Amino acid sequence: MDAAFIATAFGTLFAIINPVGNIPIFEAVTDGFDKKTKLMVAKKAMVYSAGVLIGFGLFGNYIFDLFGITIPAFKVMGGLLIFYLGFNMVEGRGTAHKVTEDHTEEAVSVAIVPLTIPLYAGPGSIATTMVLISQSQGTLDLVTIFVAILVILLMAYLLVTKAEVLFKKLGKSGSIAFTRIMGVLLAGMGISFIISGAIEAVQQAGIV
Amino acid sequence: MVLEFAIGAFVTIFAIVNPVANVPIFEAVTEGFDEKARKRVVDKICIITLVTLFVFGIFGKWIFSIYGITIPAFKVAGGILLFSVAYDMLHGKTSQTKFNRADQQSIEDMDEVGIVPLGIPLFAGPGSITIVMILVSESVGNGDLMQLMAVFGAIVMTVLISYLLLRYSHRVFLFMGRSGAMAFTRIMGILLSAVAVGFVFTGTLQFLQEAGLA
Repeated sequence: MDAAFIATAFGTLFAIINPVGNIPIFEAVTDGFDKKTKLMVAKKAMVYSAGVLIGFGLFGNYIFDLFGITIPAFKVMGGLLIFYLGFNMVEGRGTAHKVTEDHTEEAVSVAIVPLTIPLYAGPGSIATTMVLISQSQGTLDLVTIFVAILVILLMAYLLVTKAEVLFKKLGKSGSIAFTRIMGVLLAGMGISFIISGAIEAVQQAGIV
Repeated sequence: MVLEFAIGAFVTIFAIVNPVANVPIFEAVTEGFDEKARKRVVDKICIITLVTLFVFGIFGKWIFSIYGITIPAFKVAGGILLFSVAYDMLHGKTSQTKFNRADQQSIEDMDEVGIVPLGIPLFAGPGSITIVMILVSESVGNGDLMQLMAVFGAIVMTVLISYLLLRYSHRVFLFMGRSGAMAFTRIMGILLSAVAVGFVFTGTLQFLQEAGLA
């Protein structure tokens, strides 16, 4: 077992999946949900993310080939999604358009978009996973990567459940204000992805 | 020239915070408040604006680096965001990023109104935070300490003027009225649109240069 590879895999995945940094975004996006629903959303998001990352890790190249998508194009699309999300949040809307009595349906959809894609298992995480796998040698390395993903997502889940307590103190107007600031961050992230995706695409096309 | 930069910084920050147009909103939200309570709200607004803008000015870049956001990317994103705020202002409206219906409905606590939603995001909203961060990063990028001080000085000036406008809000409102504030906002909107587009161009140029494409 290569200790260096474990460290690299875990480190890069941790940075890109960003379980700590995504806490405030999770809170902003699930604003208004009761505790039970929030936990359900967190659980679903983590499970879906694990599925997406491992799925793309194993079959990503085939999937992309099948649909004729390149990774840079994928990054740009992801970036656009994130930017759009951030932009909505900046206007104080969050992703919840209506506050309905039964949050369940809305909650599940929030768990998929934007939490799984493009936040936890977004273009960055997917691309990173695929790159790590292409650098791996043998089944042991592959397993390491997947274990790292699962561990990180578990951490994300635990962190989100603990953070819940802190965020309650913001109050309604506080969370709206907070959502706005998170929106700025997401807008920045989105553009980052779009830019790096676009540059990669140009470089790959050999124009440079 | 530091003076040019300082004036530019002040005008831009003042335009985006737009205390003049915020006065009617302040009046509306604090309607029925007694004089003492009003004064408390004004104090809170100014303190929270000062603190927020300073904090993001100082730590903004670090916060954003955690999310992997580079300065050029942020300039482009910020430029787009600012343009949307400026677009609303051109139409004489206060941007939804500063105050929208949800904010109006969420007002629960009389005391906290100065912090949220009046302080953040009406005065210190995504737009002003963005501008401050970009200006700080530019002065740091130029290695110019004077420029950096100019940015923080501009924040202080803006908050000071805001304080005066808010404390004498009745008179200001009488003098300007809603249409006066609207006219003022429209002019600020033109200015900010230009600034916003400038940021998008500069940011794009920067990342192209960094990628070795320009």
